[in-house]
Amino acid sequence: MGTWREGQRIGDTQHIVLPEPRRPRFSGRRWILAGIGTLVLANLLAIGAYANSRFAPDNEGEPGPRDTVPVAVREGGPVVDARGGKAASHRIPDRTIVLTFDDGPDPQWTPKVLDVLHKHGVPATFFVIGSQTSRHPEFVERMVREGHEVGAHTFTHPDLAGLPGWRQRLELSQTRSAIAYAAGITTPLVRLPYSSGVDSLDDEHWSVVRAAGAEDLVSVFDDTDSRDWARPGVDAIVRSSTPEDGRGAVVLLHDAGGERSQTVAALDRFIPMMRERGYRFTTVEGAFGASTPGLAPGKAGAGDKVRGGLLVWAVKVADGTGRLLWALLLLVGVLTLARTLVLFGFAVRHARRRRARTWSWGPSVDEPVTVIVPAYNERKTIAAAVRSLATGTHPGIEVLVVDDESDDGTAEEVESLGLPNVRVARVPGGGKAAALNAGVALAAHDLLVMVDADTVVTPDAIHKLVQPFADPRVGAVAGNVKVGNKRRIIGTWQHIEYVIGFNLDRRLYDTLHCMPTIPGALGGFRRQAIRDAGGLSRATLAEDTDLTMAIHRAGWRVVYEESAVARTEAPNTLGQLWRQRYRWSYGTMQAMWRHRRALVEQGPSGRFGRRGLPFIALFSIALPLLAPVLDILAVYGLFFLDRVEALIAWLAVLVIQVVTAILAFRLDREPLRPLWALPLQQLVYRQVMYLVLVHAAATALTGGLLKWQHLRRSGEVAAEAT
Amino acid sequence: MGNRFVGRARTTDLIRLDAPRPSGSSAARGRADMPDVATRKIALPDLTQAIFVDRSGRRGRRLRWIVYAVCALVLVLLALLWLSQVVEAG
Repeated sequence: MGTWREGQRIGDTQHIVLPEPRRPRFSGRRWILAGIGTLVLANLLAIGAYANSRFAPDNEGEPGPRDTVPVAVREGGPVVDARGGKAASHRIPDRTIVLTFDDGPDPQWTPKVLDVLHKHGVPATFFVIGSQTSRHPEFVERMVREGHEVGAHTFTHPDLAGLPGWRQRLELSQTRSAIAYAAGITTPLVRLPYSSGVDSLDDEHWSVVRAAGAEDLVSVFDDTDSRDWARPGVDAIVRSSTPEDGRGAVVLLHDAGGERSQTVAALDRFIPMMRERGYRFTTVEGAFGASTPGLAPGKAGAGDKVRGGLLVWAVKVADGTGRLLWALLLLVGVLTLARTLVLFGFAVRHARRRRARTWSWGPSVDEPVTVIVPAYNERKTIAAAVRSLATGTHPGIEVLVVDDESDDGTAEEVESLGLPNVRVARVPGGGKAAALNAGVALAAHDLLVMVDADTVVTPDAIHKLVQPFADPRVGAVAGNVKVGNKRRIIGTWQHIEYVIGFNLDRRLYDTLHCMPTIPGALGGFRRQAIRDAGGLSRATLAEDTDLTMAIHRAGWRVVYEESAVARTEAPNTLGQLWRQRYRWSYGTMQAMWRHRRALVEQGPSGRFGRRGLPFIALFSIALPLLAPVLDILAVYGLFFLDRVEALIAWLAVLVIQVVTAILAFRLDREPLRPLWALPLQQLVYRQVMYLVLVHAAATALTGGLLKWQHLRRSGEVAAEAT
Repeated sequence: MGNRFVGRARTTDLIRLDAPRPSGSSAARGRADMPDVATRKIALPDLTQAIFVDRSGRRGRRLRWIVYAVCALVLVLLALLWLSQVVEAG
């Protein structure tokens, strides 16, 4: 015998091993894919951080010593040509204005500036930032198309003097590549960030000018600084821009970096005013071309364009990834907060109602109960489980152990107990669902309780569990399952998770009538409800979730009885926990898919489908699947953002979780001591929980087969009970 | 040993000589019996049919190759990007 599916034997009884139909060609494949994914994401985040100048020093210090700056340059004109190792400075001719705009392009202000220039028919020179060019290449293309001149203003606007040589070269070459891609030209002009007039040039910046010269770039400074970045008012901008006594001037303005309406308005006044005074407007090349050869832009080669294209798209994709991550973080934050508030409201109300003196399900239910215990190789734990069940306080308990072809003497172990109200049924191996179906068929009574063989119940648990059946509409009852083995930290983590899950989530689901799962460890059923649901199915790996959904759809109420307490043995190692949760997540997805029609059906099925399924999909699948965003951005924040702020944000999330946990522990009257493990839970357990969900979702997508796996029992819970 | 002669079954000439021939009329003649609904086998859905499982492995294979192709493309683009920058900086 064994487990059969689709007419094929797929494994031994209940023993279900990992992916079928075929072994992967190499088992490290998914780790390689995960590694590639992480690498690409890290690259995109780093590119995004770079383009947002998170690597760049941007402080403008006081000018340093000026011993090496030639006097001719320091007292010369605004164009410094240091190409080919020489150092020539050029002055602008009289009555000539070169308008220069730094820091663009900006999607809001650059078009406005271009419109004003177009209106007056005036050319200008734009020193664009490479990262901004990557984001808005269309404006740079428009500049060139409308006859303006484009120069480089570095890629991320750092103070180049503070950077090593290779970074300086990169800043300049990247900007030129981006311009080449955007407008198809190469530019010989550069303006160094934080530079103003040549008189403020110090030794450090002079070396940068020479380095730019070595890259075949001519540095452009200014004669008059409009100081428009300080938004001093239109009059002040016009005043500061105007040169004295009919002299010419390279005027420094900005078309980006903040609100620039004053700059636009000032231009509209400055241009006609200067024209009236007999000034002509031109570009750097137009003003200096006669004295300095090679200022005209060249045609960009294919190599430059490809390099620029790669860069531009890398920045675009990185920006998009960043925006997506922040949007997801916002979504996760809002959903988590909403869920927490809803949980608080509903759980507290639920607990109050249940604790009220007037609360009762109806007349006491004392009808006999059959407890079905499916068992496969549970010799270590079965005796304690059966004894705790058989000696319960409920009148008329029949314990029915369904032995699913165990080969470790499980059935003999039960028989040797010699308890009068315990029966053992040996069934041909067919998995847990088949064993439970056999149990339902063989049960002597109509009230059924299903208990796992590794679970020990409190003496009054069965009695408490069946009380809700006083209400004839109730078809199934979920018990309150706790982790019995919490000596190791992994047990403590699961204990915290169980207490929160059972006390908050289940109370909420109970109030909303959409309980997704009666735990296999402790659940009560009416035999009729199971019949109406069509019995237990082997179609999913979470037969308890599947059955619960089917019972809902058959029109029965499913409730939670928190006073019926059972202690179960939770996985003891991370590997076992992974396998258990892998099965649960996959099984839940299968069950939801199996019952998807409930979304459109009429009657109780539709009521459950439209209320329960979206809720479960959102909070049990989508929200945990999005949880990695929190960690990705936490790591990103640690590297590229304010570390203190990132830490505070992370702690805020932790505080929400601690408050939630405290509330859950209080509602369940559990001691708060295990909560010390909560901060540590954020560092390992949480990640395992969502990675396992990703793994299960990937298996569902690819159509691989996931099978039941038998957990290795330590017998810890059973040992404590005896 | 007895007589080893086995003999030959007799067939009527009517069957032996009859050759299939096209029907002389386009109209259907007679009436087929109603199917016996009472004893027809009901096609039950296979309750053990696992959900999401694609036993042929085609879906997984296709998806895997798409993922491989995307990964390869992205890695090549990233490598090109870095290389182009290294060449410039170097």
